Amino acid sequence: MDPEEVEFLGEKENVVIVPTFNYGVIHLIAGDIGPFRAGLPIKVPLWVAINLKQQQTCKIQQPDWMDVENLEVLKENEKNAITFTRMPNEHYMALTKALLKFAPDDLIRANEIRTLVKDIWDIRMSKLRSSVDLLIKEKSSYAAVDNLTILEINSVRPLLPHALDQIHRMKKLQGPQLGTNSSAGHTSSYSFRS
Amino acid sequence: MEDDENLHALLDTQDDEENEIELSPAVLIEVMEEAWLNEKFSPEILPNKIDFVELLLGQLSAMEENLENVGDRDIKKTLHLLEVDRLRFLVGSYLRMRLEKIEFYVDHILKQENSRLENREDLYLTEAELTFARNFKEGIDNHFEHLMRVHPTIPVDWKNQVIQPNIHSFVFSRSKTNIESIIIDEGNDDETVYVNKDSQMIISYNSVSNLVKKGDVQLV
Amino acid sequence: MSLQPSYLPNYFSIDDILASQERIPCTFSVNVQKLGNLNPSSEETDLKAGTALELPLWLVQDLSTGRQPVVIPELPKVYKEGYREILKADASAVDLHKFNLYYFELGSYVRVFDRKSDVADTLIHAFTNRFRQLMDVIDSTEHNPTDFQRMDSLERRLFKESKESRMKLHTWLEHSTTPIETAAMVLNHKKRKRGTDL
Repeated sequence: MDPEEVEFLGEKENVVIVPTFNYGVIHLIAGDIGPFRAGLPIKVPLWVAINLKQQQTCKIQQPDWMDVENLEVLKENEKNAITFTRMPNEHYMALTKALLKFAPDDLIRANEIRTLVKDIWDIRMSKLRSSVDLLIKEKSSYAAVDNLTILEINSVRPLLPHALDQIHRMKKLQGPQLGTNSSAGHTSSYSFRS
Repeated sequence: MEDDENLHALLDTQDDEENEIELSPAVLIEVMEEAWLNEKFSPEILPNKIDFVELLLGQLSAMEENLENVGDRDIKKTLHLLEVDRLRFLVGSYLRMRLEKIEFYVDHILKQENSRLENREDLYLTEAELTFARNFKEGIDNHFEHLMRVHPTIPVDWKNQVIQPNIHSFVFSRSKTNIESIIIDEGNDDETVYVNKDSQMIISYNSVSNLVKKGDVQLV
Repeated sequence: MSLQPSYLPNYFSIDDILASQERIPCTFSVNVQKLGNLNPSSEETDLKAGTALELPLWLVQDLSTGRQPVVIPELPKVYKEGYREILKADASAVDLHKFNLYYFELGSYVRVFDRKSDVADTLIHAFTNRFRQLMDVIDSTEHNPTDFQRMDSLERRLFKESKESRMKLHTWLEHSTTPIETAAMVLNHKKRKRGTDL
């Protein structure tokens, strides 16, 4: 999966915008948005918000969780937790990235937000590396990966699943041998290229 | 998932009548996204979702038609077209992935479909996909035959080789309900795990393949 | 993005074909007439029983099965005890390419020539112990060609797939910087304009 495909899913997340124009309800296939009244906040999917922002017809409201104090708490929690904490939004990276890119002026202390979110991401990535290393060392056949977002899960693809696949192939080799050794003779033929 | 069941029930009642299905488009899009993800991460080809695909494509065409009469300066036109683009990408990507699997595993897939036909089970491929698969196989076989004619001494064991998907591949999945027991096959000792709703895991695909096809587990 | 199945050799897999081309030391247990020219060190027309030769794996597989095997295969030296000990000591330090480019794939074939399961154990041990290093190389931004050189073909394949994925993620993450400074071009343009007003 490409990061852009993860982002595609993330662009459905709702954000609050404040339009600068008036317009009626728009009946998108996924649902209705609007009516748009200048100055009144409404909820729209991120992809709509980005498009309107690019046309300079709205301001995007900073999500509650994307606030410096809150992010500092999240970061501390993540640092202190051995496992992964639950992120305030499944698509926190895509949302942060989009807002910083398209609406930095709508954010309070945008630079600090950028740093904090990056820090949280780095802490989680580092935990992920250790977890992956452990899974491989233990030749696991199963592991719970709760509280990981899709982007984070995707970051270990294809390495983790493919490595586990190879380990599985090798584990099968440790099973009972096919036939007896050749000096005693045997009737089974190795099914390699046949 | 409850919505899934409702959808299926609604679709089933469409048999003889030319009714318009009252089905929430939002749910339709959800279903399509889930099908997209499942198809993306599953090593084998999954049962098709042709009904949903056709419904969604119908919605998209209708929308595009309506937009032809809307002025280009209209705000809603851009947004509608953007949404149509997004959804066309979704459907297109889904269908393309299936075609890719068909091309890669054509012998295996056709064998499986034939045995499903014999057992009167639902086929996984749509009619169009089946035609494509058969034509593709014919094309490949002709190509190989043609090549081999130049080298008549090469043994023909290549004809029996069936490339199979790795059913044991590891996948990430999320369970949509509480699941009593998923078997983790350790080779000699199989273990079972109980999985809560919404919990995520990495596990070998064959442990969850039936659950994925039923809709109890979502690949992520 | 197209599908990425993990490596599972099939009849047509190139890596598998190449791996089974590797040479295996074996001893002929019977005389074989007229194949003397297989033995470069002798002038005889016939191959005598007891001759030791190295033959490709695919040939050895056929010749060493059945009730009267024509050859008796031996474990290639890189799968024997001495080399296994080296791997056990510090798998990451080993240049696996030097052992054999197809170390893991070939290993999975030759382990049947080993009476105990030592080869199979060694393969898993080597792979899992070298994994950390593989992951580090994938995540690192430096390009050290020797890292890649020291991998066997299976590790190289994993490396290539994962590296590509990693790069895509990095590009996506980096692609988010907002222009904090005005572009140089715009600045210069403004300066020039002010000049002309005077």
